[in-house]
Amino acid sequence: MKLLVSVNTCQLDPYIEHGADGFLLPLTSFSTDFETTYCLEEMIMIRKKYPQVCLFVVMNAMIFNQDLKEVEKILKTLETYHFDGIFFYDWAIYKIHLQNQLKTPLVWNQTYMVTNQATANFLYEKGISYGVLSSEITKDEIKNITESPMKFFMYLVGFLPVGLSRRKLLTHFYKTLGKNGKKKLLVREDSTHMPFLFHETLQGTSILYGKCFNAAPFYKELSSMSIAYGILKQDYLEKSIFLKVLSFYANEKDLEELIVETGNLIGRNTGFLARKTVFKVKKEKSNERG
Amino acid sequence: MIPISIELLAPAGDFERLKVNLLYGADAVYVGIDRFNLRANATNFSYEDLKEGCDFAHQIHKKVYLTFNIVFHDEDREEMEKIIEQVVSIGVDAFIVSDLYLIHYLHTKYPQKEIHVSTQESITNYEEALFYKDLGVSRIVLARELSKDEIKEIIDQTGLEVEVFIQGAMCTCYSGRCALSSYVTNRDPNRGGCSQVCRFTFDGGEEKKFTLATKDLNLVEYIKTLIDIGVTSFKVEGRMRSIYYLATVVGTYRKIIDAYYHGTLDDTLIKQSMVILSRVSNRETSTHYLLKEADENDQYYTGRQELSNQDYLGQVIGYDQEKKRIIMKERNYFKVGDVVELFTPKGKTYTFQITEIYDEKENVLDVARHPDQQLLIPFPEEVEEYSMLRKAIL
Repeated sequence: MKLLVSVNTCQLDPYIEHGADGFLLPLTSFSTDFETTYCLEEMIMIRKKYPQVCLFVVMNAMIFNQDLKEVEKILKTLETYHFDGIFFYDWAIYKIHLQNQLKTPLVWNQTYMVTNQATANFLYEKGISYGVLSSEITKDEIKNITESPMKFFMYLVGFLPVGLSRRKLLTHFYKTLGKNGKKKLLVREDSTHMPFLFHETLQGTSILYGKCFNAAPFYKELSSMSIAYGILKQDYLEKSIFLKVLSFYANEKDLEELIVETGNLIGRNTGFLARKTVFKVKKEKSNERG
Repeated sequence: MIPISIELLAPAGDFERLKVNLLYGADAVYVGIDRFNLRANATNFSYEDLKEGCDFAHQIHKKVYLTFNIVFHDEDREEMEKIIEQVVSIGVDAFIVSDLYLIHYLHTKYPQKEIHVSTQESITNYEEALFYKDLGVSRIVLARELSKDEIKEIIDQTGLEVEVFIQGAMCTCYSGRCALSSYVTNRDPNRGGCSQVCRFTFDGGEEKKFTLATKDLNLVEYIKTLIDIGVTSFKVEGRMRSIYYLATVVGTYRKIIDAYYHGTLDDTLIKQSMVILSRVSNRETSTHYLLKEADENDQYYTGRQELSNQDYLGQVIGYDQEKKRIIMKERNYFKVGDVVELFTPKGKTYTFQITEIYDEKENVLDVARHPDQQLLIPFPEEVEEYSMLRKAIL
């Protein structure tokens, strides 16, 4: 499994030195769920500076009619700089890509929707060679899905997305308090005290789970599956801590060390890798409302 | 009169709701079976109910759409395909789906069946809509985050049937882009387990705690606009809502739509409809994104209110021709002397004062205070089954 990182700088050398095989570059105004984004010029500059490094562009925002011409222009520009792939959520990107016969590989990045092999196989046949696995499925489900010919990415480390709204949730909340709003806020769900990070941009509000995900205890098992890239996301982690975590993942030989040391640095939240979600619940009271 | 072309599409959590919706003027209903739809914890339909529902609808030239819009996992696939085979033979008119494999599967295996793309895919632009058109879908249910200009452009650019929500609860996040329920309650929202965490309370360390709760959607004032821009279907949210809610909402929109096509739609009817819809909703309503970017007035944040009222007094289950009395099942307290409204599936509303109440044994009552009790109320004219009695609100 190669290691892909999303970072908050244009200076990639320290990360490469600590074992990163490639980078995610979220595009300003067209990506979501990332703290740091890059404008097209910065991306091109990075591409030129690091011609041998694997670089994936992230365009996972919702796209509206008025964005479509700009999206087409961006996709054509990216094509000329030979990026290694484009992460997308909105199928408009696939459609425009197809219409323009572009060659940059597309990465199916529909966040919570990459949950089964049949859909992956179908999309592979439609020319989509990569997918980013949902972070809300178990390792057993991952094993099954990765038997698809599609190549997969999965998150190994980071504060993961749990929601995206077109609403400016923080601005509106602070207006009700008669205050100028913060654009980032750590909140806790009141009954469980679970933490969430709210990040508002011009496109809306992204909500991340406030406990850092760390797949370390399952890394060996995951490495034996057909997963092309593991993603480590630096957002909200100090650079020094992130580099250490990256080093442990890159030098995976001592699994015990990886588990203990990264656990000490970023915690031991393994998400849903060993915990299955449910959807049917026992009915305790009538559903009827109104 | 212009021929009526717009479809009024209503949610049916079970067979009775299906019947009420269609009797009150819905052109089609959307339903779910026990699994594979996004209301896994609703009553939902058995195969027998679904067959009965389809037969009932088809007899009166109306349609039944099956929601099959989960984001499925590998373990679901085999059973899902078996169920699809069964429900196709039952005769549902269309499938509402979100998963791309499922769209492909249905289109290739059952090409005669219509496929509608669920709002779960949050379609927000016309290129995305065209992508689905290429896959063989006939209709798209648009994201609830769009303005009327955005909706119009999608209609103009794609030629697809376009369905928009006009009434009911809203999600805080884009549909399909929310896993809050998985994280807080371990219930997968994309397989029907949503626990509505956006309505929970959050603490951001400020002087007040807050929710992310949205007000409900109500586009009754913009029905004309939406018909004029070419919308195909008006969707009402709420497969878990009561028959009283559905009868009221569907009946109200039916009147508005018919008035539009008859050229009689005016401000008075719209204002009356607003009053009726505001009484039946348990939250305040807004137009959300239709005219502008949604703002703080479209949400609760603090001081959220879930209103409930006792307007609904009972449901008509028959008529005693001889004694000229409606036979009804009581729902909420009322008494002799109260002024009430009786509204019917055919769209009539009668306002009158309760002069007498009898129970099943012909005992005279002053008050009706037992829910589900069968009662008899003098009324001069026969009214249909499923007519409903409410407190006078107009």
